[in-house]
Amino acid sequence: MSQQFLPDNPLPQEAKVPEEIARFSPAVEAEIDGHLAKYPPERRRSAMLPLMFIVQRERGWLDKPGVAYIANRLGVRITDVWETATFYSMIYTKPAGKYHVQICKTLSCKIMGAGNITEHCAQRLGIKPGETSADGKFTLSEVECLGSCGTAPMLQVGFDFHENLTTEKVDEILDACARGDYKFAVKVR
Amino acid sequence: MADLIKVTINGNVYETEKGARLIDVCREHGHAVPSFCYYSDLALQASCRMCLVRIEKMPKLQTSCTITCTDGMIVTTESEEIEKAQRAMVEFLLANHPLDCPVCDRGGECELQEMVFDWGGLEERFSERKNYAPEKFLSPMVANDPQRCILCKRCTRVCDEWMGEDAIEAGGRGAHTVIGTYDGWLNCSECGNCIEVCPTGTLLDATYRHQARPWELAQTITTCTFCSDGCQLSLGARVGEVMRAVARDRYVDGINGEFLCIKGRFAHPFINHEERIRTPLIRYKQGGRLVPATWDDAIGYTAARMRAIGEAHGADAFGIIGSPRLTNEANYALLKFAREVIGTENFTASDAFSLAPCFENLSAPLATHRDIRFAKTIILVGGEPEELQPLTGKQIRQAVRNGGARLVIFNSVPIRLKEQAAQFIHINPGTEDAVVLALAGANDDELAAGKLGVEAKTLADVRRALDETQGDCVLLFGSELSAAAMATLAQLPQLLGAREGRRFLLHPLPFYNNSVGAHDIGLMNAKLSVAQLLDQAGQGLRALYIAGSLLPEHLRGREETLRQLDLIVVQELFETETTALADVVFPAASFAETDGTFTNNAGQVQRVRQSIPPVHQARPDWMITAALASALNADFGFQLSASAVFREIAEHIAAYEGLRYPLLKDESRPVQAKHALAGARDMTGAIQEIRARIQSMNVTSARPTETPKVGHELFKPGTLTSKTPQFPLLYAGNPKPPTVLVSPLYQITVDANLRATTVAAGD
Amino acid sequence: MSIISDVIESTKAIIKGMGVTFSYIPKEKWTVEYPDEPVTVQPRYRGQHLLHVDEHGREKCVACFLCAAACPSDCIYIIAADDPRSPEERIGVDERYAKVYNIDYGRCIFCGFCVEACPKDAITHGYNFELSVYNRADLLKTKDDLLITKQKQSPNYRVAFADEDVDSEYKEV
Repeated sequence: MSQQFLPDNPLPQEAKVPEEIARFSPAVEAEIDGHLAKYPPERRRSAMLPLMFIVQRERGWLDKPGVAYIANRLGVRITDVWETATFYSMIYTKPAGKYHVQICKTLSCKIMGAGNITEHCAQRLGIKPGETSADGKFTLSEVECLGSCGTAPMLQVGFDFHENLTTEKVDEILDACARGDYKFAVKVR
Repeated sequence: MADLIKVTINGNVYETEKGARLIDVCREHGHAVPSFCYYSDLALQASCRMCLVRIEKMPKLQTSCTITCTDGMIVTTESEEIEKAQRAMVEFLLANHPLDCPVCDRGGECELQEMVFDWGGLEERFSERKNYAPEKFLSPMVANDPQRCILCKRCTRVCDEWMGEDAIEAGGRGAHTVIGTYDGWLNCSECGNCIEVCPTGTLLDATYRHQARPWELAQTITTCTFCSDGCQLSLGARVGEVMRAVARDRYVDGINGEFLCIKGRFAHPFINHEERIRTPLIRYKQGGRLVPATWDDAIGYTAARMRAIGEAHGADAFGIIGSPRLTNEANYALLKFAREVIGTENFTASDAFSLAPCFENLSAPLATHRDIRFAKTIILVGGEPEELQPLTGKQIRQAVRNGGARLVIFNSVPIRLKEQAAQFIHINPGTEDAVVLALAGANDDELAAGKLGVEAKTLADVRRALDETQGDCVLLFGSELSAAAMATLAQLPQLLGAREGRRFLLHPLPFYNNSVGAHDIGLMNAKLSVAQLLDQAGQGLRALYIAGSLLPEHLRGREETLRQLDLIVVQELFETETTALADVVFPAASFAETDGTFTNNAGQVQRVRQSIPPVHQARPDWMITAALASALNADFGFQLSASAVFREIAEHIAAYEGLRYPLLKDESRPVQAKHALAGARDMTGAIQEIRARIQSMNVTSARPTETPKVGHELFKPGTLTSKTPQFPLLYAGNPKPPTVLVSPLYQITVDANLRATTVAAGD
Repeated sequence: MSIISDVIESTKAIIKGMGVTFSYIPKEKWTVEYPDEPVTVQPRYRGQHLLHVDEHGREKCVACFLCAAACPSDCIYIIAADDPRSPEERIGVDERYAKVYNIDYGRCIFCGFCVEACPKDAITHGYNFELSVYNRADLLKTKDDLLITKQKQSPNYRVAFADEDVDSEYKEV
């Protein structure tokens, strides 16, 4: 035991923050109840993904109170929620921008130049894949195959597909987003 | 008898039971099948793809861990094709595995290292950069290096299935999957079983981190000294210092498998702690200081004082108190000392409650932990096994989760095991006796249900479940029962009657490692309880000889009267509240420094073996007693050998008849003491007593509704556990330190005041 | 035998013997005037061990115990410890370092297995060969005696150049 390295001034004991649980409006609660009703009571945890989308929609991302809420509602532990949340690229475990630009990096897209598209986006937005821009508008990420190999390269904004990309096309999309007049074709759940 | 089927493995035909797993059958017959993720008794994972075999008529190579044997199956475990596939798998595993074996604590006992070493000549074709993540801490006990992970998920399965905690999970996906927790900090019971089952150096013991190498350690198989489960563990010692305790099956194969709780695994630093009493101490005058003395002086001084007191006041001026923490040998020596040297019956052991009523009326055998694992119905009355007897808790949980047992819990507190219970019956505090009354018969259902605060129908349901049980039915009970209730519960198998296909087993839940042994030796069915004996202080009692320390509940409030005694002799490891009253203190050897036996709550007599020589001048307790006896001109005849003491125990104690150390040497086949079974007894008197007791009981329906926090008992810093510097941190709420890259021990200091306040405010 | 023939034979023998002696006088000297002159040692000479440091002066040893495990005479004793400080402040290159590193030269047989076993190139044989002491306990060398930054090198040796043949049997003089 290397007691010799103990710092001279021990750090103060951190105050324990009580576990917060998110609260939602009755309308949202009713929506959640609707999802829960689809599954038998002992299989409640099957409603994990719909709940995650709702919490994310209401709170922007899966923050600590949100995770605690889901764990509480489904009778699972927060690590279970964490495990599921980190698996999916469309569930945010840290604050995400309004426009989530997801560029496919799997084989077909890669062959058709997804690397260039990513580089272009990164340069334009000034962020690396996996980061969120300072103004909180954009989140850039590289994702696995989105099932649009025939029209590679492609990217997804929210749930909208943009296919057969060129740098010009990407610029158009990003400009629309930056201006704020980008219309989501698929409604964010 | 299960059907036998024929399986052909590598051209040899073997008979095996239907439903056997292929990997087990292969290994049983000496066909080595490599694997990482397969772990018998855990849910299947089949993620390491190492156990591939070729089965005829199946199109591809199959994972043998997921295949159940069928009749006529023809299996090949060794071929060029299989080896090629396996080599490719290892190559993939090593694609992101760092080559830092010299630094990794697992080096030398790492399964991945061994597999690569055995095969040799593995080529590594990945020239890309490996995933990098810094080594970090998940808790004060668990160190984590995510890069070394091969994603076998044994840790997550153990955490879920053994501990029911789900504290550790795999997050992320693909090559970026990491083992971790929600916000990077583990708030669990810190059992460390994830460390034990990890095949690589991903999860490591933070208390032993970077201290030694496994091949440098002398491994000694011994019995844990904390709770009454008696887990078998292996102490790794190096030059007289115990470095770690593990239950890895390469070193030890006991009742607990690879399971240990936080205390067994991490609470060993007390053995070489600097506060250990180093020499005998004598307080020459009342109110003076304890002064170091030589052994000869201390023994001579004590003997002279004892002789003087004996001459002046007679034999009954002495009281002798053994301890449920000591070995059977130590307690037997004390008993012999009381009877033969002093000539008094004033002896007892400082246990929290006596199991005597249970053993006197025992009408069914004690359940071993294996019995609990395969039981069909489990009734738990009171107690909190997952905090106080963690192995029993784990076995109950596995019986329910993996064995489909029906668990019924009667408790006034919603304990954690309730998640597994088929029926959790929330009773009013202090009414555990009424449960026994209800189980014994239907006559008192109204009364019992009223006092318990439950519906009478619930009680009938439980009785029906007991009635319908096919297979083993285990009755577990905690410390809350009164003597009459304990006796009635012990007779319950007789009261309910025998039936074909149903077997009753009893399992008491005492607190200490040798509570059952202390009872067996005869210290607990003495005429006086500890409290009664201590109350005699000043009224005839002039001298006390205490091995170990008195429990706080016995000591508090009696300090003044005890100070009036002429002589108090104490054998202890550390200076405690009891040694503060002592006139003579002998330094005793801990469980790691002595040979002996402990008897666990399943009645199994298990060996304690010397791992290191006694530290400083300590001596084993029985040796001190024998030395004192010879100073008083009585020769016990077992000066230097614990086995001689045990032989004498075997001759004098009926339950231990015929036992010898060589018979106890195999920890994988523990020997159960032969406790005498009482036949059917007339329990009307006892039942009447319980009924009267319940009727006069003032019950409150204020039941705790919150499940107690994990570790509220486990983390309590006691005399021994507080010597592990991590325990106070855990008890202070296990705060997450500012950075997880450095051990929390170097970052957070729990000062004496904070510890005192948390203990005082503790549950 | 007559006296005369004896004298002649003896004189012949002396002349023959002294002839060898005198023939060597003009040749190069083999004797090393140790300790007045340094001894020349081969580059691969196995003398007292050296514990190495990296370019920032941090010890290379990570206390993996492989040298102790490889040692046939069991003369290496290590106590490993944790150094939780930042990489710049650390004693060693890694968090794990050897708090104690002792070699007992009363037992060491200079076989070089420890050097072969070391995965970090932290230990090598140096050239110091003067290990005689008056007290046997002094043969136990600690880390301070072994570290390359602290070991006192004897002035009584010089390392041969790579192409220099110091003591070959077939040396042409």
